[in-house]
Amino acid sequence: MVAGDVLVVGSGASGVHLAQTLLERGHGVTMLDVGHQGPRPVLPDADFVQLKNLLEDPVEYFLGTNWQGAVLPGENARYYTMPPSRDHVFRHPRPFQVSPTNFEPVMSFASGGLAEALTGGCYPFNDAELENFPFDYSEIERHYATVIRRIGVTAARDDLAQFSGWFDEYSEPLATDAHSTHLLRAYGKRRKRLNADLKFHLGRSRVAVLTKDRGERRACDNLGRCLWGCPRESVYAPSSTLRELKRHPRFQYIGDTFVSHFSYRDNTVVGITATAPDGSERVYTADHYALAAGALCSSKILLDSIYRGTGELHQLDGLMDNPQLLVPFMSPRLLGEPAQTRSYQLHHLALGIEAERVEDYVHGQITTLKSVAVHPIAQSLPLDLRSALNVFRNTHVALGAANVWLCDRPDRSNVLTIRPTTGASGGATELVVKRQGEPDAAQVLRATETVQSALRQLGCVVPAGKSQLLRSGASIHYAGTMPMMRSRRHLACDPDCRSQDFRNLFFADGASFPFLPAKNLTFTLMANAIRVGESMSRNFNA
Amino acid sequence: MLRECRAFTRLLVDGDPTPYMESRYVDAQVSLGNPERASATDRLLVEFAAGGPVAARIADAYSRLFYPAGLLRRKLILMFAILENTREYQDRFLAGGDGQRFKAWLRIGAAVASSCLLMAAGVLLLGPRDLLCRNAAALR
Repeated sequence: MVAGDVLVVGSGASGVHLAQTLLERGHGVTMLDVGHQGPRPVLPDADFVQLKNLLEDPVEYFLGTNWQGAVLPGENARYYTMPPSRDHVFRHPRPFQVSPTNFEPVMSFASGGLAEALTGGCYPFNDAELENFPFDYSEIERHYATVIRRIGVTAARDDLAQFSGWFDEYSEPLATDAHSTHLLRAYGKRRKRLNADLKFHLGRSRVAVLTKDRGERRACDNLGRCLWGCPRESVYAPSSTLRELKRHPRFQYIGDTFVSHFSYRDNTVVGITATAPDGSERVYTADHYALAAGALCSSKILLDSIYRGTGELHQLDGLMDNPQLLVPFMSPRLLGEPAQTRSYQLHHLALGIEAERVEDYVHGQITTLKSVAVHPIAQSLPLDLRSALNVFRNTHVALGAANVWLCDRPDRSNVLTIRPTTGASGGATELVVKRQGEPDAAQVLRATETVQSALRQLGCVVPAGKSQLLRSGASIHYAGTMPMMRSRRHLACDPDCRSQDFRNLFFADGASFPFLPAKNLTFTLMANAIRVGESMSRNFNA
Repeated sequence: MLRECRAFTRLLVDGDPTPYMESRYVDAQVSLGNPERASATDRLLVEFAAGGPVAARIADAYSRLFYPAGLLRRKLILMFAILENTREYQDRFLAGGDGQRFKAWLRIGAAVASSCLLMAAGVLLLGPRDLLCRNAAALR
């Protein structure tokens, strides 16, 4: 038995910031985590090109030992794939099984969670977007500021400030690459028209990347390896916070531990059961418990716990996931330009499409092509590969893609439940996720056409038929299965993200979000985890 | 397989594969699935393409048109993926253009036109043989 003030499940963005907040207020924290570890960064000072020159087996590094980094043609072909160095982020432990319908869930059991593959976007929700939350912007504003101080976020005071607020804690943004600079200039010339006609606004993306050294993390040096895992840790990943937490005397990290369920008496959680890699089970106890394993995994732990306690199979409805559009484009003015692979690889620009109703607001990030795997792109061109390579080389710098998100609201037909695994003993279940509600087709069309039209006004060519609505689950922004609310409801949270059914159980991740605005949610996950941590601390002291 | 590797490398980068590239290409075949399951058309196209870079280009253009996810395309894309990650040839993939926009347009136009011609050549050279293969398979 291991005792601690608070037992936190999961080491993702929510878990580590909740833990840090509690530790700062003098409480002890034990963290249970599967915690798959990534490989150590190779050649940390080499840029993308040097890496291929210096590695003994560059093909293995970039394509993987099982060739999982090679994108072959077929139904699953994409413009890009997660590199093998990120395999640990998406690997599932053996006991975890999921059965999805019309939804492709992405979950992580990595040390640092899904945010280890974070592309850094940090956009605070505004008052309108928090309307369905049981608190307003003024209550979470200072927590956003705390997150910025902890992790470092860059931003520019530009047209996007109206959608995402402004913090003095922001750092200056990185220098833009040639293509992003070109797009910003074009926007500057047509700004009034784009703002008036399309309500389209362009600016610098808010990014969790360092422009100055901070502790062990080093400032971005434009190595062009962001997607493969920044060896300087310039792009924020929760594992860097976890490393700091591990040095705290009141923090205990128990990795290699798969939490299956908690036990309870009446409305009080009395212990959490976790399985070690050898199959042995242990029970961990604490005064309070916080689930921060991600909306899907935390929900499964809750459902499994009730099932083991009562034999009842419950279902959680209202699962949300931002519909995501991909709009590829090309800027003909940059055709034939030499490529600049030594650059911050992810998005420099973000967009917002103003709307009267918060549900209609559209948010996006624009990524221009720099260091990249070429073969997935070349094979998508309707040419033989040699010709496709010639075309790619001359269009490389001119290529880009807008990743666009729409909001999602709770829909009772999107459900999450569990099903006892056939033939398995010991109460094993699989997670069943059914997404029946479809994104609003008119809204998807409107957003696609507006983004395409804006890009065309910026001088871009937007190839017909290449814009696509990604499969449900692709945004990895999951929320809403245990929504926080002021009113009493079975299987919901109170405004402090405390379970309304179990008095000492908190949900610190996206499960507690009652609405999902069209924005990356990780920044708000971290800020909300700090809010929950403060509230827990106040309760303990009271 | 080494013949294929050589023809594909010449096709894609106008150079010869090193022993490292050859060994990686041989290793990569596991990702293509069971070779016994390849169709007669797949075998025809791969055999034709292994004849040299020109044949490989014609077969690739034909495959892009009619069998974009066929065995030949998969093998070629694997070779492409290997080559773009080697120190010898990576610059052929990522260097970008030479800064001259007009020439870039010309090169793109030439690439598209040559691809169309290659597809036409592929239809003439490989189309009848492909039809025979498919008919023979249907009769069996």
